[in-house]
Amino acid sequence: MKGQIAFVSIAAPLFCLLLLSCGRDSNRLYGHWKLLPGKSVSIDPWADLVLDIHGDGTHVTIVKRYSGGNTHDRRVDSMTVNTEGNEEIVPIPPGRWLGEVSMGIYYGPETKRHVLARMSDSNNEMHIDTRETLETAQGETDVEVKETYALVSDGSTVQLSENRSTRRSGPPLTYTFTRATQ
Amino acid sequence: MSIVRYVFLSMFLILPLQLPLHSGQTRHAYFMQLPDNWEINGQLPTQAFLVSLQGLANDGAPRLYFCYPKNWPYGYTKNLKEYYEKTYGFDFKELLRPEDALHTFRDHVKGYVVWDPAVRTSLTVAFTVAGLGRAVVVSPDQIPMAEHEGLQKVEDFRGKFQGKSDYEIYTWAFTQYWHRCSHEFLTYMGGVAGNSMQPGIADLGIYHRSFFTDLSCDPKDTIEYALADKIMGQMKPMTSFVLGWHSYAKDLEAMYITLISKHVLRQEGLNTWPNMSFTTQLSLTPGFKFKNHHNIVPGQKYVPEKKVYIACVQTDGLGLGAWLDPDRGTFPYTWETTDGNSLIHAPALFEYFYTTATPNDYFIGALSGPSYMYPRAIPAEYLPKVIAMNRDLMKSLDLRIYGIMERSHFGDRYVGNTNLPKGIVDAYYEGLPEAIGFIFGYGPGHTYEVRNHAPFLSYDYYLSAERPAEDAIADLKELAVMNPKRPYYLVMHVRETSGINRVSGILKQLGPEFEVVPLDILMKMAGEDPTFKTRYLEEGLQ
Repeated sequence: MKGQIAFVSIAAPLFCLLLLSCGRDSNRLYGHWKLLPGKSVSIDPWADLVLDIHGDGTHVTIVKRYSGGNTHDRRVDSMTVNTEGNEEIVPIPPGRWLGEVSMGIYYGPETKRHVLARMSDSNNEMHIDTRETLETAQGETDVEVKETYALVSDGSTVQLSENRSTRRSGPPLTYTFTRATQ
Repeated sequence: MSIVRYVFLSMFLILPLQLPLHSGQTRHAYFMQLPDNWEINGQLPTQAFLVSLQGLANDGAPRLYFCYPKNWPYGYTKNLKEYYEKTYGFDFKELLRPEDALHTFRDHVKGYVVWDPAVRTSLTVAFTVAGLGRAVVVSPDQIPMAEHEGLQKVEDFRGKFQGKSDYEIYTWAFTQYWHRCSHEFLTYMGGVAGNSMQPGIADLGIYHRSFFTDLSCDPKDTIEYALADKIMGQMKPMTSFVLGWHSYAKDLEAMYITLISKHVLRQEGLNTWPNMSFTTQLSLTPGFKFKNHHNIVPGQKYVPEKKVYIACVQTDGLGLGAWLDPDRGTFPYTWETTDGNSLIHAPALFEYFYTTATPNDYFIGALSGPSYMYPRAIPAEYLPKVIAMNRDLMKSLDLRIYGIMERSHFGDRYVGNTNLPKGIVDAYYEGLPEAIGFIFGYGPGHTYEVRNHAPFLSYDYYLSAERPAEDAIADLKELAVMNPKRPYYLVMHVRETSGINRVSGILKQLGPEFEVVPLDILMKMAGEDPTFKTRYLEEGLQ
């Protein structure tokens, strides 16, 4: 009996870890994704956008890598947030706003991003709601962004749709990514 | 000698020198149409030969002019030729073959220098030799043509630089030639790299007997950078010129302009700037005064309404971009006189632009210095002197608004923070007291100020040529949402390769809240009713 208890006490956590690990691997949103420009809204002046999504079941790290005409023109937007519906505050380095670098909008020295992230039960959809205060020519403005990362059924494509409180016209901000190797 | 006789003789001697070229007499010159190929194994040997010949042929008088192919960055060569015919009385006779051109200008050439098509950099060095030795630049295949005219070989680079790095080649050339070259001019034969070269400005470099190079200005390329730094360090600040452009294969524009600004030199052109050995010798027509199309009526009040006021400024200076666009003049557009040095080197070129400007074309001073500089890179003791030079240029060119750009920490419209600290904004206000406004940036900037009703604004939007129109319209409308106070002053920097018709199409779809106005009117209203927040480069940021 003592031996059985010992076995269970060791095996159970291992089983849970295995489940978690399987869960991690089974989230098919995780991976390395490359933008398909022909199926996305323009990202001009950037030439490329690469998306990395990784997580451990409770937290997710989203990295967007923008690149332009030469090796110096690189920007990385990275954040790690929990996906259990608790708001987190993520600091952002100062510089031009990545929403559209051709607009005179800046992240100030104190800019923070308030983030609420949720993963769907099926792990095929992730919702990220953010609020941030940005610097403009006239002062500051609050912007709310709702992003949905949705895995397309074949598992090889992710569609990102973005809804920005300040963007009230123009083509829908939708981006299509295809799975890529690192 | 009686005073009457002295005056008469003086007039007789001096007048011919001062007579403009357009006083009724016909001036004879030649022109050629250049092919549209700049590859080493294509037409580059012919182009290099002709451009070197042009630099020699034009020594002493404008004699040889080239019409560049349709897609050349400076698209005006055909129009300018017609303008010179009409305004300066030129009668151009066409030359069809390189050998005809050499024969025609044989008396202006002392020899030939052979470059090695296997080592591209040998051509750059050959241009230096061309200026010093009054020699045409030839490829091995062109030697018979040169010798047919009885020319002697000045230098032969075949095999000389095989296996050597650019640093080694330029170090050798520096030791060999720099002491004999003009130290007032340095020519950067950059631009496209690899199998091509577009040496449009080589004629001017040869004309001035300058040293040619394309050394890297990237501080990480330590040895090339050190040599470039050393060469520029031996040129006189404020009065010396760097002609041409950096190599797209070696460094960034920001690195090149930063190094030039550090030495307080004056950048001229791109490497493609055409026919400058010809144009530099044409004076202004008699009595010509530069007159800008100012829109502000003295004494009139400009009270802004609750609107978004938008003004368009083309990037990258006159001669590039949309000047020849048939839609120019249909709505207010602003043009940067970035090549301010041209007032010295090519006044006729400025006269051409001012003469052909419509009432909707408005000129502003640019760019940071008498041509293109970065104020944070200019040594502090020189900045007021550079700005004083700008003040003179603004007076001469009838300019009231000044444009400033800053990338000396290698940020650009994608990355980094390219804004200005307060001290530099102070220097421009103090040095240009007559200015009615300043505009800052290339991509959008974030430096704002207003003093004595003269605003210091930043570009709030950069319109690239590639941005789809519907996205650009949405961007501009979103900016109006993010800047909710009215009036909102929105200055848009338009990439020079954007057509005016495209810009007009975008502006027409912005809706009734937007109003397109000339830049000086926008500045006037912004100075009277500022709704922007004063900002400078924050401490601790680059």
